[in-house]
Amino acid sequence: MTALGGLVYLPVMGAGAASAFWTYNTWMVLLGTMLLGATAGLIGVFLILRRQALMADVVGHATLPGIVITFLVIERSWPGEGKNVQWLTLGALAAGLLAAVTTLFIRRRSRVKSDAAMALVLGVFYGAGVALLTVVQQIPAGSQAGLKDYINGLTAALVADDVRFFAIAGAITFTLTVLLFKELSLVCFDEEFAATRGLPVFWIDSLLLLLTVSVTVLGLQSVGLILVVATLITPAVSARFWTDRLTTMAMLSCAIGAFASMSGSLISAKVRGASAGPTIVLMGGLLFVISLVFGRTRGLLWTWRHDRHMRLIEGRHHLIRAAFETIEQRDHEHSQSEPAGDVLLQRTFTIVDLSAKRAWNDAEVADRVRDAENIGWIEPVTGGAQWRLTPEGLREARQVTRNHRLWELYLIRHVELAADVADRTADRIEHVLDPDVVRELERQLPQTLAPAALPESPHTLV
Amino acid sequence: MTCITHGVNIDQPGVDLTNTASVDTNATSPPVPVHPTTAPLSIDDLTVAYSRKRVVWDVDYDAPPGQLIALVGPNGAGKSTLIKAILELIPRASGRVLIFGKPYTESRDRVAYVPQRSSVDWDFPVNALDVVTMGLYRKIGWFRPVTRKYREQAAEALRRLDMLNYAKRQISQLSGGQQQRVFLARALVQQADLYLLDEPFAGVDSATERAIISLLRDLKAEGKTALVVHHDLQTVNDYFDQVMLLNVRLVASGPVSTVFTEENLRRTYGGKLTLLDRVQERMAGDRR
Repeated sequence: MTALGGLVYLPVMGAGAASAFWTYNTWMVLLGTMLLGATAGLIGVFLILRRQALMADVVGHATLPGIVITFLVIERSWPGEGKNVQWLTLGALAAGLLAAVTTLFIRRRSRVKSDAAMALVLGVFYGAGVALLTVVQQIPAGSQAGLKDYINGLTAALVADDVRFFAIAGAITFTLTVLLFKELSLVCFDEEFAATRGLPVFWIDSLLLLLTVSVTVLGLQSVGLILVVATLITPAVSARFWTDRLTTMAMLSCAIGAFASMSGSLISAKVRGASAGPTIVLMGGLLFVISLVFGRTRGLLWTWRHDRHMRLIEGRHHLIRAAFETIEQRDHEHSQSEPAGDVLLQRTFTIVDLSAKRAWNDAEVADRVRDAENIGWIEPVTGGAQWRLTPEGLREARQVTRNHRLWELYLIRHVELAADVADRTADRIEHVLDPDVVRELERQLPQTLAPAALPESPHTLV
Repeated sequence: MTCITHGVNIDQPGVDLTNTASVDTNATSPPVPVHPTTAPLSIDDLTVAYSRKRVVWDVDYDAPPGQLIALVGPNGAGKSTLIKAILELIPRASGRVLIFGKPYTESRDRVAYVPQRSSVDWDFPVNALDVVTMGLYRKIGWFRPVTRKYREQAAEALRRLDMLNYAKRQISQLSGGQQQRVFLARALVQQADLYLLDEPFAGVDSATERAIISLLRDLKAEGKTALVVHHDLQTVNDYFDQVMLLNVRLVASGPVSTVFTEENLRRTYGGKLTLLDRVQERMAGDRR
């Protein structure tokens, strides 16, 4: 049996002590911590998808009375053995399970809502733990010193023997979760459907809870019972920013959890004064911020770029339609028939024409004209005073204008919108009309001419 | 005991007319041609209650095989509750439900369920193909991974609903109608004989409505039975063979042609007549 007190196996680096750092114990502790981090990340994915994230917090806090009571019992029976990590872990496990079951019971059997039930159980259990701690402190023997490590985590004090115990428990938890991946995900996605397919939803939920309690209790060792919720939730939430697939999300979450645990432990070992628990959680937080900003599917940067791209496309469409309608109108003033394409290529327009069409200021219209020129839709005629459409620009312009007018006509005929309201609504929609919708519009507007024919604007052009 | 108009389906193939001994032969009601031990769905005195309030009360119905059945009634009539009670998702207060002559737990593999679209979180990190594959999880079995064989089956179901192009789309990026088609594909891969659909037409586009109805007709042609919670009274005549009119109690049930009458609809919908009058006009117009 190992007494915990003075053993520090990830030693704070002293000058010139580099070679003594990478001992067998260091490796074991690091690998064990990584495994626990990965397991927490994996369970966290399902906790989040099942909307049970706070359950980890409840279980974490609720372990305190279990730890203290176990300590008291063992210390009374075998003085000096009270802080055996494995016994204390079992005590924590029992209290965590009791808290989880109590929460479920209150939720099912009373009218107390889920969040209130969790807050209630968390408060009562943690309160009991704190009260019991004061009892422990009145015991004359100083052996209780270090019991509070459970609140803040004690990675620094772990030895290979303990780590082996945690690693085995962690590996079992991990394997069970992987084996039941399919069933867990179905219950999380569609509980009723899962039940109709004969899945024992109650037992799968209970198992998820058991796995949560297990990984939470194991996580106490590295980050402490207050912060342990972060090791379950942060990796999973971060992973969601990078992918829309559950399997990928789960693997990423494991990786993030493992990396946060590893880097946090290493940093706390090398930097004087940094304790492991908070450092691990902070590393997770850092990875979360990175995911939030740079995440490939839902990160802020990606969303921002997407929005900007959409605005750019919108601007282009508006510009090209303004240009088209300007020259179309001019042509109508000359002849009443629909102007032929090559005639339109000869017609010119000015920047002032364009700003008059839309409520654009000079800078906006200048930006858009430059953009349209760059992609080859319009070209200057007389040194920039006059502009005209290129053949490609004309083709695009006809397409955009046609979509706009089809949508306008649809709104006017089928939604009975006033023409000017239809114009504004169509303004926003025309950019996202896909070919399917356009075909449907053509079907619903049989009066419209042959394919590719351009209907006249249903309102007078400004 | 409510008055129940039983359907008469003498010329239904596969209907056992010889053995009606176990059926309640009330002198006033017409003979029941569907035998509960062969019927795709046989509901006997079913009552469902939430605490003390009865939500479904004393429902009797034997579904003839190979028919499309509409389950119609106002909001709060217990339509979804009835479906869920059939699937044993909620406990019955009393009564018995048999599916092909067996309780649901034993005939699970012959039943496919399409829940209401609003019942799940569409932000879930799965794509359309993943969702359809879920219909195969039972077949794949515990602990086993989803192999390519199953993904191909799922893809085939998506193809039948004209959704193969969207297989890799995250489900929140699908339109309401496309989401509904994904749910239908998930039911389709189960290759069931009885389909229970909860409001598949709610909030879908016309293309999806056509896809659903053509799928239902295909299923019927294969001899399968579908019970569909339906809201649009105007299409009951066009889409369905049988109708169950439910308002807590089963007001009437049987072939659409004989049961879907103004009087029965009034009894089902009670005071909510404005809509009904409109439908009446339509139906009168159809007959002319």
